[in-house]
Amino acid sequence: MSATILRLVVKPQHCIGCRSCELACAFTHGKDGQPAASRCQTVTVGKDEYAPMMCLQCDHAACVQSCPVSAIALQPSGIVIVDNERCIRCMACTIACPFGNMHFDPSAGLIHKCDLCAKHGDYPRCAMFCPTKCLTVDRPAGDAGR
Amino acid sequence: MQATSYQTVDDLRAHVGKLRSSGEADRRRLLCCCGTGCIASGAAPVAEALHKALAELPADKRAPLNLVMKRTGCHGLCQKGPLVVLMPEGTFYTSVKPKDVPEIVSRSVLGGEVIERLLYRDASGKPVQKYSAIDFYAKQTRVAMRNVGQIDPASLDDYLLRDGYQALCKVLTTMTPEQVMQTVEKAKLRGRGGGGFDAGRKWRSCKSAKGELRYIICNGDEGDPGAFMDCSIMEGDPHGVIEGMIIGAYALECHEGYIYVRQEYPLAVKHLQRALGDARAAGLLGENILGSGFSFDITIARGGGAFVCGESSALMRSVEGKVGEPRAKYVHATDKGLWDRPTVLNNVETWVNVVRIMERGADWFCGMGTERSKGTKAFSLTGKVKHTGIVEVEMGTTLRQIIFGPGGGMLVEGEGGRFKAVQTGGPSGGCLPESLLDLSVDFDSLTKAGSMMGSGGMIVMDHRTCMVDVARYFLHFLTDESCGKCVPCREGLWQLDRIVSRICEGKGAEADLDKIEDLSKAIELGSLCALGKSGPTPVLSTLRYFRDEYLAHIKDHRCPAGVCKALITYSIDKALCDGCGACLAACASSAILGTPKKGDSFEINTLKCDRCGACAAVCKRGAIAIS
Amino acid sequence: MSFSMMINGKRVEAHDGELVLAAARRAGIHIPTLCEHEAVEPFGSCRLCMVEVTKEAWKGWKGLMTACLYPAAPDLIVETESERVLHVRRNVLDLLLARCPDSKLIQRLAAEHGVHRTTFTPRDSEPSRREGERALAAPDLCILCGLCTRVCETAATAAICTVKRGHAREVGTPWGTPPPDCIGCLACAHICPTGHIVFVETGFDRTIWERTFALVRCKDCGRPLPVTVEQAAFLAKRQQLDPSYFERCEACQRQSTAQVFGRMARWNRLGLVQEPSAPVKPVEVKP
Repeated sequence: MSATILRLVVKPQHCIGCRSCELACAFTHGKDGQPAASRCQTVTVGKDEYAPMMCLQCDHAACVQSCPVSAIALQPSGIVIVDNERCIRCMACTIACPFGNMHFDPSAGLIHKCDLCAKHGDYPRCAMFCPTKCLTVDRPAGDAGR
Repeated sequence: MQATSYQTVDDLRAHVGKLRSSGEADRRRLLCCCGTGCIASGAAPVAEALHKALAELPADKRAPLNLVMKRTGCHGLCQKGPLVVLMPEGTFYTSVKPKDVPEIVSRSVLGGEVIERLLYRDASGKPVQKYSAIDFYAKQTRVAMRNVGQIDPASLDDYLLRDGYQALCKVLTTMTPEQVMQTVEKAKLRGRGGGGFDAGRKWRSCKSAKGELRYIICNGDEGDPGAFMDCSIMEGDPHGVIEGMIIGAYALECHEGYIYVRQEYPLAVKHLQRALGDARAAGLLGENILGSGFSFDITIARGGGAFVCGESSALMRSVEGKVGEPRAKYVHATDKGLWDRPTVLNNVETWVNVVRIMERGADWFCGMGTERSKGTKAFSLTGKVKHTGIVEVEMGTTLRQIIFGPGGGMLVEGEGGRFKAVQTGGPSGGCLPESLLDLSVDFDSLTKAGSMMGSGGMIVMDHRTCMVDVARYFLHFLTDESCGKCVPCREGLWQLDRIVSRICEGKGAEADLDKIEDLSKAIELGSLCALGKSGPTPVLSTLRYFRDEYLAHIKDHRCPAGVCKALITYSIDKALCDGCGACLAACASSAILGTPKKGDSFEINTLKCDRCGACAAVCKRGAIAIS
Repeated sequence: MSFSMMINGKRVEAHDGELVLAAARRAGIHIPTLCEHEAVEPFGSCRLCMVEVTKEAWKGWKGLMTACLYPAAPDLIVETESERVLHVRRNVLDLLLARCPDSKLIQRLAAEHGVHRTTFTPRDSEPSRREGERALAAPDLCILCGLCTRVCETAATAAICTVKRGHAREVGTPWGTPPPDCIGCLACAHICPTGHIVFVETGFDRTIWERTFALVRCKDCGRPLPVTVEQAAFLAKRQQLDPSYFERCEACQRQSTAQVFGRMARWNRLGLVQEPSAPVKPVEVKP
């Protein structure tokens, strides 16, 4: 059983609201960078204050608990993954997540959430493109994030 | 009402010993058949009248008779019911009516005379006095049906006097479960419900399966149209079924059993319930049976009126309270059956055979039948035979021997009733032509010929039966009864029904025959359960042996048997018609023109004619012809 | 416990408890299905995923089994496109095309198997009905795969099920009336492969099976959530989550969480040491 391979570290004090993370995510996961494909959303919390919001990969996730067909699970890698073959589109997870990080894409008919770019080489693109090191990657087993 | 509970095997044997020495078995018996068939012909008032008449006899007349009247189960010769038999004389009366009762009592019971007009008549018309001389019975080997018709199913003592529960006593006192299992395996008993699967093998794989809890089930669904052997056994010898199940449970070391009875057999349920109650009260069922330490009990489960529930996995769902739908058979019921626990399901007749095997031994059983089909089989012989009813013969007997032996031959002698085909195995089986009359009746021979044994239905057909219509009938039955879960059966059989119906209507094409074969192959290969898989068999077998009849319908727009309504016309031969007007009165479609007057003759308007045949049935001059 | 088996001549690794269909998919071998879905137990009703199986020990005997239900086993040899398999598939699709000639999915699948027009009698457009019974869904596109009833049983309230037998079998509700147990989750409509089950979403409510359900309104902003009131109550109970998990919309949840993060950021910028205050209310997790 592999242990946690990577974690995304978010330091909202460094967020300047540039939304590079959103763009990077949208281009990685969507077609032509449509904003709705982004799993990361930068929220404005006050004057010049921003926070990038994406899945917190909870240890005891509400989304996992809420799914009536057990389509969501915390993997040994530490990432919460949705099995879209199993998903029945009931939307329970999108409401249950207390942090609002579960999204439904109506055009694709799929649930999407941040999976730390698991299908894209385990290299979170948001962290790659964050100019202020607000988003960094921590690899418990190996090198520290970029 | 069973009063005594037998605490040990010795207690029971002592009781049986007392019964035998009491002369109970030697009393004169007046047996009145009260099986469902005879009740339908009016046996209930006859039995009532007999009972009353005997009860009203003055004591000085009644006592010396030493007679007991019994309402028994089905005697088998259902064609001739209501049946009344006087034993030990063996006087066999047929078609008895309540008005015959006073004469029976005064002349036969009291006077020891034989009433000739009530006797059974053989093929030449001669009256036959004795039961044992009647071909129908003489040519049978009644093993599973041994007690049916001879005992009052409500009487445990009757059953005990015919060696009832002796096999159980033997098993409980001298055999281990493993020994019982080995005996059944040695006997090579194959299931009598249709599948013909080796019962010993089934039991063995259930016993080897994982799990503490096991179940046994008796399949009393008997859904095949025209099959009523299990009906008569459950009604007429319920203890036989119960004893078989107790022995089976002992071998399998299981403690719970079910008898699944189809919705349409209320009398069977009633008799089984009473027998179960009596068995429990007698210590033969329940905790610590006859002091042996073995506990087992049986519950009756009733069907809801679905043929598909005769299929073992659908039956189990039905017992569980779910909709009767089969499930994939890769997981065997002996591993995961009822409530996902190892289960043995066997047919009524199979369970009764278990008792016989334990009574007389595996070698005795193997001494009957063929190499791969041991023992006997009960058949429901129906159709254009003289003696419709239940016939039990050794496996390996030929079709000809059955139909022309106990069957008594064709209903109408000579060319007018010439044999055409015999249908075996119900809706899963096929039609066999005259050329195969000498086929041995056993599991494998029938399957090789394109039919199957099935549960024992055997329908005899003559030249007035249209084989295409027979195929259509079975297809229609199956589309009605299909559970509808899988595509090949639900849609495929329905489409097959459409194609064959169109042929019957004269709208078929030769290409339809290839289509039938192509679709049938897909249904046989693709269906989820045996209902679908064997559904095309009637069509395929009739196509194989009676292809020219199909072609006549298609190319000549003709139904050679004169059955398919769209292809026949009724007409009146004016030369023979005497203007009596009986046909006019019988016609429900107002299709007959003419006025009743001697010398006048009638005409049928073919456009209005419904082809119901009522006119031909009433015409005394034979003036109405079908073309 | 891992072992190897052969599918179409290709060696495939499989493990105990796996079914042939899953093993084939992992090996990249496509087997068509209609009544199969990860969220529900396999049913074996469409017969489309039929495969031919054998083992050396079976001495040439080959069985036709549905891949969705047949267990993978060591030394199993599977053929997914044998002549008999294709014969069954072609006929099944031809029959389904006769049943639902207007279904785009069936038309496409049938065409892929060489059936462009059905060779059978098309089904009557309106099945015979008992007087007083209404058609709750247009009967044209239902292929009776059973996915809707199974998902309703597995993930919802078993509000719908199949009724009647044989050719008259259909997906129905208790006595043909709008189902009292339905929670309006639309799982049946989403899982239906042919789009037979219809529903209407106005943005504030949903109508399906002739019942209208109000959508939950976000406690903070009042916008409708994508779950109905009944669905929220059902989920809370069944998934053992406090009902408060189903009261706010995604955007408001995100906003309130972002506010918390913003506060943390402020403290950080002010040089204050970050100490967790009262622990965040843990999720009520029942294993």
